[in-house]
Amino acid sequence: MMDALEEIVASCGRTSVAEDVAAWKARTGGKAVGCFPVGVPEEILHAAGVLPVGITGGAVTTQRADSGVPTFTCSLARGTIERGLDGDLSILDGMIFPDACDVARNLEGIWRENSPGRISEVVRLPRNPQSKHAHAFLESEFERLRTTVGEMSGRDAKDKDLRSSIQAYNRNRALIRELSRIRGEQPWRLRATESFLLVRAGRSVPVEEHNALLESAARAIEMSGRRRRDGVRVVIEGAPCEPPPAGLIETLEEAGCLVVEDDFLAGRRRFGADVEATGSPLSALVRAVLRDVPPSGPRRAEGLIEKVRRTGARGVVFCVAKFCEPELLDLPLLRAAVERGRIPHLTFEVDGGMGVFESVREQVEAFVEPPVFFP
Amino acid sequence: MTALKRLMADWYRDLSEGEGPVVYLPVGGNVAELPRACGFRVFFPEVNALQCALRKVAGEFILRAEEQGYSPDVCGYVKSDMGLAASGGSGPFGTIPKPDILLCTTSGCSTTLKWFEALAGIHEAPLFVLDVPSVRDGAADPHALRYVVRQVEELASVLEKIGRRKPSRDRLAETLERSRQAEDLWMEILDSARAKPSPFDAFFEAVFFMAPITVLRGTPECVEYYRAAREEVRGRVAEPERRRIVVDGPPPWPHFRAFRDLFKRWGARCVASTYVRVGGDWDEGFRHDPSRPFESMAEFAARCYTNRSLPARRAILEREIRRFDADALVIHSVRSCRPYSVGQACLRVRDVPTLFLESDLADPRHFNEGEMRTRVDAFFEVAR
Repeated sequence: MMDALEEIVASCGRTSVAEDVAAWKARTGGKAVGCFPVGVPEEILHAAGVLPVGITGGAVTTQRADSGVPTFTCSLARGTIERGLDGDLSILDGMIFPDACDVARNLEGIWRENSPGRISEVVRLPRNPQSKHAHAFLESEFERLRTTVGEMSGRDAKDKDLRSSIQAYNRNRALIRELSRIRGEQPWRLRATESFLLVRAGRSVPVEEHNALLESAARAIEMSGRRRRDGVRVVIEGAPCEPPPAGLIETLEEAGCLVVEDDFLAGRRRFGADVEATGSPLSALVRAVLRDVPPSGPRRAEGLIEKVRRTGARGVVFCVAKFCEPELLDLPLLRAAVERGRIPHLTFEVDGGMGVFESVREQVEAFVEPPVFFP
Repeated sequence: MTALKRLMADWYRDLSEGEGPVVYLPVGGNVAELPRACGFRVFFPEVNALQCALRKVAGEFILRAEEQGYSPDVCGYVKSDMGLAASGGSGPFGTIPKPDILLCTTSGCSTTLKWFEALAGIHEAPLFVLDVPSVRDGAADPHALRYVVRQVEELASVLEKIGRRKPSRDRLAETLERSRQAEDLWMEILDSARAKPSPFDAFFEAVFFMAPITVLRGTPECVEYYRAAREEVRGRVAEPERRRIVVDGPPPWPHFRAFRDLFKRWGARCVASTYVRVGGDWDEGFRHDPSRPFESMAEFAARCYTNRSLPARRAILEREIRRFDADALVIHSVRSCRPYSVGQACLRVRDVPTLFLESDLADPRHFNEGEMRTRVDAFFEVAR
């Protein structure tokens, strides 16, 4: 029999993104815009009455996308174009791509040329946050986005609207941080798969609705009498943009891992603390972005070691999206760092189309064998 | 070609034997004039990786990097360079000096940023990131350009501290003036391909002719080289041409000759190419300008070809096809360079026959000569 938390989690996957968006549009008459990961400020869309739809990938057979997006790009990129042009995401009224990588930036052009009448934007996030002038640039960039989205929806995102959107998203981030805290301290009370599905459920519903879901999940966790479960505490790293299929996370757990921290769906979790909801809201959003720039390269490697120590993890599982160049370029540095720290690690290259996890299970079972961890 | 070889050899010699601080720069949208005016010796890891590919030694460096955990699916230039670093930094051109600072401009690609981060870690040297926002249409937005200009100003103070030499206004103006002169001459050479038949191949020759404007921009040697090159091109008697093509994409360096010969046998002359714009372009009369030093460097940084959106790139291709009266477009897509290749197949131009080819710029394993020959032959046969 399912416990209350399992029932809530099971409800997360009952409707598809397209069904959620269609229902919302029918209810409100509003527009829905896709947000490619990672870094689109959803608050600005929300404040203009637009539904921000998180793009999280999934299994897709590409046909139309193949003519523009090469096979050596991640399945998230190929899938987004395929689904946007001919599939379930054609319900979207536009897309916003952050220039988080070269592929994402070029997807904007492909989308623009193939989707006349729908908006297509790039949000350029500062890559030199140390510059004293990064703030002014990003504020202008967010202002530009506010104008575009406002024109599209016919409703300006006024400062007061933006402040209340920031508050709603702050609540969302606080609830997600609480899930992470529980998982880090007592991972048997909330499995990584459950946490992933709960967070992902926010991709296609308004943030207030997602907050209600997370609150009911928090209550269910509080009430649940799940027994302590043994396993090897691990950190999952390498999937901030395209998450692995839920089946893979589930397999890791079934094979004996207690996932105490991961970097899935980083967009919803990017700020370590609240965004200020007073003063100029755009400026507050900019400050938060510049404060919490995700580390990269050698700094990220240091951060990973610190994360492992902090969570008491005994190993690291790298789940990197196949063909994701930014992650694949960091990977040798991250692996070298954990090896220097004598931390066992295991790597999987994943894509949205993976459906069979037997070999993953075998590798994980061998990985968590006692000799590896208790020499 | 001999003059070019001598220039490149001198560049390498100065790097290994010369004096003064060393800065590493990417090719895309670099602001080489500024460190040069501060007395830095300027090194380009990409150009070195390219030379390794051309000399057919990149393959072994790439394998070495893959042994270290680099994926087969990432940029061959990066792997070639990481393999070189793992081999002690000694390549076919001697030992590359360690950087005193790395200066990464982001307009070429975001891969360079990861590359430079890794190099900064290996050499324990500071990294300055010059963030150049991408350009959606036409020109860069004023707020983005302002951000780049301000960062160039910040960079000047950093370079002054590390190089212990203040960039005097005169010295910077002199360097920029030399860039401008070389750019005028280079544009004249590229424009010569408008003649029929064209005396100059804007891809198979230009990819070599562009080396000094990439590596030595701002030096007297660079100006001298283009002055001599212009005279040489002016004095040429053009060979007959049967096809006039525009090429989009970088060359497959490890198989350059084989690739060139596939086109040569059909009498195809390239009259314009986009690869010559990977550093930046000089369209609409843009030149480095001593009277607007920081502004013109920032503008150049934003003008890098791969810093532009796909629709803007198509507009450039359409314009070049018209301007140079080309009758076909050849797109060479390389796995290593995603900013170039993602969406490149969408760049077909209406009513212009287009040939789409795939291989790589550094990794020799991705070049299949037989398959490529079949496609090139079929294309020219049908389009005859």
